[in-house]
Amino acid sequence: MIYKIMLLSYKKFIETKLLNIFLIVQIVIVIVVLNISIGKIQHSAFVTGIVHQSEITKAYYVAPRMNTRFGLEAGLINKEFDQLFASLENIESIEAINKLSFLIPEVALDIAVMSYNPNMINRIHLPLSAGNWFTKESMDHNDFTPVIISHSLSEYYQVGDFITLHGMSRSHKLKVIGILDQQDYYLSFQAAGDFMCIDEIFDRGKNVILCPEKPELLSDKLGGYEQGKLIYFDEKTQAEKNIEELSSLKETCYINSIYEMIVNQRETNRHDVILQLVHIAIAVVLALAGIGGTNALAFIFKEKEFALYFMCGLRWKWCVFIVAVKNIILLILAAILSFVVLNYITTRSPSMEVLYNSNNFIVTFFVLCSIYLLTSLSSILRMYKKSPISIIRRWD
Amino acid sequence: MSILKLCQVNRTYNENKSSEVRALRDINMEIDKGEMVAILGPSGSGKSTLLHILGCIDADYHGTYLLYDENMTMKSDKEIANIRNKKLGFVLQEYGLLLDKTVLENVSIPLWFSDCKIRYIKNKCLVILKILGIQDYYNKKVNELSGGQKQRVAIARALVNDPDIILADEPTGALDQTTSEEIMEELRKLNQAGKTIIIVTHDPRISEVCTKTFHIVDGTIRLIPN
Repeated sequence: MIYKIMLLSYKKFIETKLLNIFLIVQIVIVIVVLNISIGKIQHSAFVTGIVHQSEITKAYYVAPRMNTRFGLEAGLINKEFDQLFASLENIESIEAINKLSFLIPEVALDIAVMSYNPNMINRIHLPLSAGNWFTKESMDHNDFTPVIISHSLSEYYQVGDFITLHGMSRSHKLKVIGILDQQDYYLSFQAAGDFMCIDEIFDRGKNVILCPEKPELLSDKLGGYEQGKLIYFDEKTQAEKNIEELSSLKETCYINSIYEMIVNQRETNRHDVILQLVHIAIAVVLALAGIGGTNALAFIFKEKEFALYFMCGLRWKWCVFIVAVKNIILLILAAILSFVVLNYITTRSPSMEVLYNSNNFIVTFFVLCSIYLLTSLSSILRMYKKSPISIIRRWD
Repeated sequence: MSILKLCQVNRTYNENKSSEVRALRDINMEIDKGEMVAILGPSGSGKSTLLHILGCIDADYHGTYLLYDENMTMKSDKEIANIRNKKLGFVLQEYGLLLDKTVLENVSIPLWFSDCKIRYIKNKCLVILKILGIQDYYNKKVNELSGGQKQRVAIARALVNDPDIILADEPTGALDQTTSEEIMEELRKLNQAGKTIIIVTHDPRISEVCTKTFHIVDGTIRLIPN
């Protein structure tokens, strides 16, 4: 009997395939919208939380790394966030970080290697806490490459230490000649229509190595981890013009203090949260009216069929079973498709900066399941209360 | 031998409410195996309510309903469903068919809930369709058939599990005179083959071919001698 009922349930599912596809599409849209919106709100809350807890002079700005693979790394992100929060009090300063680059402790350092154009030696000097800035003489070594490291790396290396970079076609030996000072300000300037930030140099993580321009070091992948954006100062005239404007700090140049960054961040977050709440409201309406309504309507059209089944010997228990099997098939397909779509969006879209969380996915999916199953159950209950023959008569 | 017996059956809708309606009052009736019975009555007299009780679809009544000397009020949901599936066949006025499904799919419905193995379902349906002379239409959609053919499909569905009792609710109500006579002839043949037929109708001509006639008015029933 159970096999026959299962087969019948499957047949019922196939018979209404167009309607089921419509329902699956609706469920996928709602899950994707809810996950993205909730993820963005969590992201905003996370950033706001950090900004609130930071002191103005030692503030930092953190945002999640782009294109985190949904689901696979969601747990890792949560773990890293937890660790970050836990260690918040011990962090004296995080420099300008636009994209949070997660460290995996005791596995490898996540280091971004930045190119520094030797021609800019007389133009760009970032403040150092130890050692010396590049000189033309210091760059001229065959057995190692002189580098300047960010302040965070001073925990691991001191001036005079050697660093070996692995994970490339061959190993590279670097010698630390200087350590960047901690930054407590942002500098940005606009030139030739392009907005540039000095802190872009640090945008992929706090562990940055500045080295003379060496193409073989500028790999996309280093030590298994994605590395930072490369900044070139190749075009001398343009760069010189930029630097002149930067150094004069007049009119075309401006300084965003950390305080201003915090204010801007709060404002951006507020707008972002409102926008996402609107998205969530639309998704909820779609879930209730679309998914719930379509399901209830589909039931009304199947009312006669179930009434006939009942008249011909089907028990209500089996009726619920048929509906349940059909629903389970539909919801499993919707869950798989939602997962695939979310993965696709997060890994393929370059502009997607969303904090994904597998818990969000599970919660939103089960909320939708509840809406769907509640409409199914209420429809069955409505049928149960009526006489099957009167239902058949009405439809005849 | 009594196959079906009602003792002091009462059915009230919206009990203890201002809209209370007593649909059946102290119904007593007895039907023997192999009889062809007509239950005559005007609209709103309680015919359909009685049919629902006889068909084990409505269990919300007071009194005793004995089917094969077994009290239906004592039966579980599973046993009642089993009785509907194996012992009873339903033929309805407007056929009660799934119009967008084929004849075969309609006729096979009761077999999905019986012990019949899936591989025998088609053959079993074809045998019944052949008996009723509509085997050629087995793959046709029901909405492509005429009224008489549809009612034959409904009869085939009622018979496919070989029940002892056929409950027919106005089986000729939607048919013309000639087709009505054909359908009644089919029911008469079934009765001759040993099936107990119970027809609920408001058409007095139906009772002429029946062995027993009950008249129901305002929820009360009485036997009219033929």
